[in-house]
Amino acid sequence: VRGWWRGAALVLAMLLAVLGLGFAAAGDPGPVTQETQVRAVASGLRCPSCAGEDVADSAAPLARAMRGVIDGHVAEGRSPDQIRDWFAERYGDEVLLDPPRSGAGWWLWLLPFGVLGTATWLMVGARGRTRTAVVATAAVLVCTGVWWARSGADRTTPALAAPSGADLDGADLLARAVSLEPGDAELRLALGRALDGAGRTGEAAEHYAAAARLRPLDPDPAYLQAFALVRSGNSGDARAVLEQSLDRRAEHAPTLLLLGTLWWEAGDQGAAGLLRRFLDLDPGHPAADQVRVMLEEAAQ
Amino acid sequence: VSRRWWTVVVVAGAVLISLVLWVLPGAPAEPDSGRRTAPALTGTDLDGRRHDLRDLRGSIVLVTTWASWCAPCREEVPVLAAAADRYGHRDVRVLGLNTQDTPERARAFVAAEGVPFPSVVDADGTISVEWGVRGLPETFLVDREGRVAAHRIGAVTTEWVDEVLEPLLAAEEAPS
Repeated sequence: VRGWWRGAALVLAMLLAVLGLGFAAAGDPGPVTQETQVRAVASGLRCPSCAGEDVADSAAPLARAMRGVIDGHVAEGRSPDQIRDWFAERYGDEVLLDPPRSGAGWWLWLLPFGVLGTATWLMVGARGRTRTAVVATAAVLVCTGVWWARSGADRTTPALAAPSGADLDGADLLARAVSLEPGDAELRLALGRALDGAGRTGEAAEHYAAAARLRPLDPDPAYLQAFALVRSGNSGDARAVLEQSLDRRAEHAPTLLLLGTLWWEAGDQGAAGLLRRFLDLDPGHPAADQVRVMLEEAAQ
Repeated sequence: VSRRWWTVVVVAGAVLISLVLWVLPGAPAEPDSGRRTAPALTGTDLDGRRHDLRDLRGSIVLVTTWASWCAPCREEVPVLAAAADRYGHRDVRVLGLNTQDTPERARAFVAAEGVPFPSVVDADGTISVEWGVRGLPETFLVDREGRVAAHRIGAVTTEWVDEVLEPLLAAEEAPS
């Protein structure tokens, strides 16, 4: 009987430790608003058009649309599981960041319970040294788990604060932020500008290009990319970027000016037309007078 | 009963459960040919006319998602236009879904490329999500019963159109 009590006490202690671990991992949920519910569901979904980003944190147009759909479902009173199932039906189980409770996915859900059951069985059944070893192992595992859960916030929140004493400049800090949030167009643009300012125009162009992919309807990132390419001596690529951007939006004055100038330098017949369109759109631009002079001289 | 015996029982049970779970399907299979019902597609087109995919029940419909900023969407317009021409007499229609675009740019695209089919406006992209679209362009072949019979990711080709449409039409003509 005494052994039975000891076993029960051990099981109880282990359950308390596991519950403590659960609370530590869950943290303070805060007030439940529609926004937090949408974010909670979006955090559990993988953005299908992005590399390694969840729907909550991705700035991709598809992720934005998915957040809008989740918002609608939450407003209609659907549960998180129902919304997850809705997305899995359309995008397959791979859209779920947690394994699905079906097929092989069941194993991943059952694994913690299996471990718990096995540990309980070992602790109740074990004797002497074996029991001590099992308890010690369990204690180490629980402590490691608590440490891992506690440090979770550091893993998921972008570490934007500068480490004390480090010699990181703005570009390095932004590069770190971009590595944590690769789908954030604003961060990409900020990093591009920082690199641009430091004279690293080739690298800047890459981040402007990423921002342009994330914001296909916005002509500014493509223009910045082209401008950085020109300054890094890659006018050919710059022309291609500007021509593609102009296809999407024909009335962007900076794009017309830069592409018109590049075509002008290359002796292209269409340059004058582009530059006239630029003047029509932005007659007060600081470069407008110079462009007028160019066009007048060419006409004579 | 010995401890070794219990170990054998537990391991055997785990293996048995894993086998059962492995063979269980993730979701119930549809009773028919595996085609899922097409999601809703309702809204106004770029000229303000209302469209509902349900009104086209009885026709075969190629639902194509596009945007003016999508280069491959431009390439596939002639293919879709030709498909509408070639298969129109067999009641095959094309319905566009203009997603995450602005009306001005979309209208300019329609005019420049000569898009002959109407397109429901999906400015915020939520209808595309309803259809499970990952990127543009994507095209869905909806059969006469309103189920998705085929799905193409990327620009459609004449070969793909023939490959998915011909068997569908041939099956209708076959004596039952």
